Amino acid sequence: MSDFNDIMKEIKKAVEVLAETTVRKYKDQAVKEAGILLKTMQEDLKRWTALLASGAITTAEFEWLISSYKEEAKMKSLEKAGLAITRVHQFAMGVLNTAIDVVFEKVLEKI
Amino acid sequence: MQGIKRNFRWLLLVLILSFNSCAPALYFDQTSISNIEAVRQDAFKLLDRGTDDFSNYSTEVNALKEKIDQIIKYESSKGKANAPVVNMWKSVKNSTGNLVNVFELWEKQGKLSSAFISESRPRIANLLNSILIVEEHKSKR
Repeated sequence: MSDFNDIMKEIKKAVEVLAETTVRKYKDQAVKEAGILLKTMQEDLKRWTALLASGAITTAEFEWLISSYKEEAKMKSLEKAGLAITRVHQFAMGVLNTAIDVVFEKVLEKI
Repeated sequence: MQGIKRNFRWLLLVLILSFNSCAPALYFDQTSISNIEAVRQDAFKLLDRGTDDFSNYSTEVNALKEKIDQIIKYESSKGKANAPVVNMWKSVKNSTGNLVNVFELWEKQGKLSSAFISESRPRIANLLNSILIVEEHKSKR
């Protein structure tokens, strides 16, 4: 699908221009991150582009599908935050339980 | 001596119980899991009807939106530690490219294409799965 390869090349070029104008200081990192994202969604993008071209989906539906990747990234970052809070709590409970065990073992036995 | 020992144990027990009751957001809650499953089920049931006219299902879609509002209230009541889960539900409700936005698209277009229904289904499952992962990893009491 040479048309799609052209589309990908165009997107990559546009991303470089976007990075240059919006996050110039971090351009290299931004372009690298964008490359990873594009690679992840490449197969979906290819399929959705074909569906759009054949008229099987509307432009608004195509936009929703692309936007769902942005949403997935947001949900994943919130998921990481939620899991981090849970892990900190589980660690704190572990510390409390350890403290209780040690006190019972070392101190109360002497009472 | 036995009295001191007993009082000390009671004191520790009270401290642990206080710590637990202050943080409902941090504990596994079957209601939260059931809410995710219910929204997923209702959403997919409605999505499967997407090639029909939206007006036939507006009542069910509004009921789903209300259910999500109730879930946001429920999860918000668990306190600040639950902010990631609350924000995930808010995205489900309000963000472009998330669940409720599909039904807004349905309303706007009148119908959804069958190809879009097939393609959006796994995307929606992915989005809701993030909430499920957080809930399932919470501590069991």
